[in-house]
Amino acid sequence: MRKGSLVLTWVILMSLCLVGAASPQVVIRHWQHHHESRTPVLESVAKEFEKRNPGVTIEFEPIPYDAYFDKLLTALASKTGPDVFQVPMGFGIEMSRSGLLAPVPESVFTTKEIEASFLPWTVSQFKYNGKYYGLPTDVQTLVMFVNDTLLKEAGLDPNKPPRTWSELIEQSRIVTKRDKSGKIIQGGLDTRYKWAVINLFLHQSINGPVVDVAKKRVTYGEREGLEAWNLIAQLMTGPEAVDSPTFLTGQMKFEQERAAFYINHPVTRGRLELNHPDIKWSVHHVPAPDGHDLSKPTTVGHHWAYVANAKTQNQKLAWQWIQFLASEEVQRKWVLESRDLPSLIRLVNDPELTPDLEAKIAMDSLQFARPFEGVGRNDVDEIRNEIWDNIVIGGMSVEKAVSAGAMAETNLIQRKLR
Amino acid sequence: MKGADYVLKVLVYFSLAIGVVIMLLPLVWMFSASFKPLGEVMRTPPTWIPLQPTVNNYKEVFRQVPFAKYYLNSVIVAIIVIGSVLITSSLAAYVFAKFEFPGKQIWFFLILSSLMVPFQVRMIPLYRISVSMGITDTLFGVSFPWLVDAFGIFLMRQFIITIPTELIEVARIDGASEPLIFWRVILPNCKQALSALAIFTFAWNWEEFLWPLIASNSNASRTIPIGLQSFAEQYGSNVHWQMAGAVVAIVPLLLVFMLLEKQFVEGITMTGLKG
Amino acid sequence: MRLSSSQRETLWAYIFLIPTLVLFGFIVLYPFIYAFYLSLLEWGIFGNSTYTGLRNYADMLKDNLFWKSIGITLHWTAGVVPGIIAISLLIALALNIPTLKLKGTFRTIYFIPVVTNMVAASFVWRWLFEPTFGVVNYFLGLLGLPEPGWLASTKWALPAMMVVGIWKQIGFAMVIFLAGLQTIPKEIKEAARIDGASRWQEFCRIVLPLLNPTIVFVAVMLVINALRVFTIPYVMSAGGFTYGVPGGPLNSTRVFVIHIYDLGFRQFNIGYASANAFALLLLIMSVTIIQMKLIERPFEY
Repeated sequence: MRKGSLVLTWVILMSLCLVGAASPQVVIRHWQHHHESRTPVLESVAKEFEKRNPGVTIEFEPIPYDAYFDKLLTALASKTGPDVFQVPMGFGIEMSRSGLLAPVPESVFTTKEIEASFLPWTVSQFKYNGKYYGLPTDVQTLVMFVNDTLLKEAGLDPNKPPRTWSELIEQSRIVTKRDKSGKIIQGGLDTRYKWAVINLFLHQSINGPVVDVAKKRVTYGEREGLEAWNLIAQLMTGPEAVDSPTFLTGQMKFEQERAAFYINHPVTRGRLELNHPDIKWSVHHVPAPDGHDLSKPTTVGHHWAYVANAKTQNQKLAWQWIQFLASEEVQRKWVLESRDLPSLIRLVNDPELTPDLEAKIAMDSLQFARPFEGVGRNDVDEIRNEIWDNIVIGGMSVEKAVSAGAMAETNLIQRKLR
Repeated sequence: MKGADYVLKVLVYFSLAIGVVIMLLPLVWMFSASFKPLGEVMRTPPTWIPLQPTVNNYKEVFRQVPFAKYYLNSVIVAIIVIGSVLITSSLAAYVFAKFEFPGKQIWFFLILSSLMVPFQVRMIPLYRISVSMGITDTLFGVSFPWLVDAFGIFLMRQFIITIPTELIEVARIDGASEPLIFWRVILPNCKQALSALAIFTFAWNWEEFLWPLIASNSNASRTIPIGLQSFAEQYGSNVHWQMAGAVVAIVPLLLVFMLLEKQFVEGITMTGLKG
Repeated sequence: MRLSSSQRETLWAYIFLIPTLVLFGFIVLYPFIYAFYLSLLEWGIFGNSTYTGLRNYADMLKDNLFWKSIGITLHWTAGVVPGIIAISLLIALALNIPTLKLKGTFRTIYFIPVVTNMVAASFVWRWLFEPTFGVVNYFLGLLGLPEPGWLASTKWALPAMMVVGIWKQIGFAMVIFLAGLQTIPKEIKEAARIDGASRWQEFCRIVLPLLNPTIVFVAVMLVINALRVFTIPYVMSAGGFTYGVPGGPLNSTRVFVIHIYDLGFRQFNIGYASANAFALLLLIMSVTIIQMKLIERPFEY
């Protein structure tokens, strides 16, 4: 009967696993994606909040980044979402008008106070009908990383990195090396983070909105936008291309010292310092379009926002928690421990937060940043990526690829903002 | 004949040896990456013997996430799922292999069709059921969607078909009850299939990530893959830690396989009747 | 009450089936019904849902990506399944040779890809297929053959992933073939040998037919798995730090489940995704029915 008792044990084991626990305090469930430095910061901030608000428990759930939306959506779709969670700014417009979120109550933070405290571009995507639906976190801009060694080897001066589009093209071409068959073996610009390259150029070249929400259309199919797409074509196609999708596919070109320039967020500094300490790199402002004011090079700002579930039982408390997360003392922690950028106006240029030149450049870029425009995230990225792929891999003409993509994205916006 | 035999043998060993290299390459990389710092892991071209060996990754894996707890949870979930799948699959397979009854074809296809809808589509309703049954954040909740497996039923059916029907009929004539026939006649004769099923269920369930992530809210019910995936972050992956965790995680899989694969060899002869 | 023998049979059949059927009700049937209900809605998660009847299905048939995904999935299936069956059958036969040494070791090694962490596998395979410096193109170059762009090329990304797909599943099929080979009584093979049958005849006339249920199983399961493949193309195109898009270059590796996942969880169009899922269900079901009718041969044991 040994087999029988095995089965019995197994049944008992199964039933013992139905464990549950009840908690008498007021609980705020907080979800955000896991990050090795942000998670411990959040844990300590949560403890601090609990200390100042006895009777409140913050139930923090860090979720692996790749599956963050899977889990969040499943929970929201089954109407059991957390009280507080974070969303990228691309969701701002849609979510604010969807009824899924609870706006900031005036008793916690008035609209005027919000607008006086935060950099405008870090809150604008979450404003709807005069109310705010999210406060910023994970603030990043785009800067340019330069490999000083490769520049010197190519005969260029690392203290004079490209400051205009033309200089970018020129210097990248000088650094690019090819083998006998014409294949690139050293790149000028590492373009693997396509989101950064595409959106930087678009937001630099277009003077008005990139996405016209009022008219529910995109504007990057017009003359100014085409300049950005043409720059991409110049950089990526033809015999003088500075990078190629078949060059070190899926590998880290800049970090392997196979590319001289790299456009990415300031937070990348941390990873470079930690994992590739041998590289001599420096951080600079992104190159601006020819003829623009070079003392204020436009860059793209991106942020996430903490939002409150409309179904939460504790709206006021949830927003007090979020307000705490976006407060000055906590933002200092974000900046110093996770290399995020602050979103509070009075923290910009705070000397404690800019210990070195690179930090200063990252901080300055905040003031030159305009918010990323796109109604959505993955769907928008895929459309813009497809324009890129059509031009670079598919050999399509810039006009054709861009008009197809612009139409697709315009249709998308119209479907979403009906 | 001897000469041709010899050539065939050499050819076989040679091909198998090449196959070995291809099969093992990622495992070797995984093992070596678990001893490298991240910068070296990302190197192009990859190094196979670590230039800067370190055991730090293994320490970090256990420090960053409660890996031991996740391990225990994974083991318990695996036991629950394997047990449930073996029992339900062999019972149902016996029915589909050796019984005739109205609705048989339809039921078989309905069950098989459960494999045909991608899990992501079933995820939301499954989550709703779990919430209403109150089993979220429990190990049972994590095991829940996997308690029956059409694959297992199908596999066992194919094997039980090959059991001679006379064995069953003789047992019936001898007056044995149906459950006893199942226990004494059928089960012993499909040890290979059961072992295979156990291994596959184990291997595939051990790496199951999406459902445990959705169904768990705390370390009480999180499993190993969640721990491993948490090393993949927004701005980059801590692959070195991930690989250390993966090495630790693969050990039971290999052990169980090496244990059970002997079953495939020690075949049970099908001649004669079993008492 | 005395039951007739066929009534008794039916009764016991259902008794044995009940645990399975009950669990299936929860785990499969209810989700199916719910998913079908979802497919009749237009629901973007961020808004309210509107009932649209069968419009999702009509839109689906007009969607280019829908047809492209089906084509890619069929291409994958047609390449991967025969590849796996051929290679793993050969390996199983080889490892069944009584005088072969180190059988256990070989069996374990050939099974290892099945349990190898997919992140690790994708790192290595991505490197092997790297167009400029990778090993595969290096050898192709030595042989004077053209060096494709593999994962960066619209034509060659899927074949590269198919190689990985075959690599990963050989062990699985091998194990089942090995188990199946064990069920062939040694006496029958010896009798054939004594009767003077050659090894080839032995294989075709005895082994293959007796192995039929196993081959049916492997073929059907591999096809079902191939039609619903997700992890390998997903990890190879968008995994980790690659900044890739899950559909591959210009959607050339957008297998059907990636398409469904993208619609549901990246574009948040759940109703439409569910409709596509049901299309997949229909596709797999039809293919499976046809397959089973074609290759299953009942054999009296």
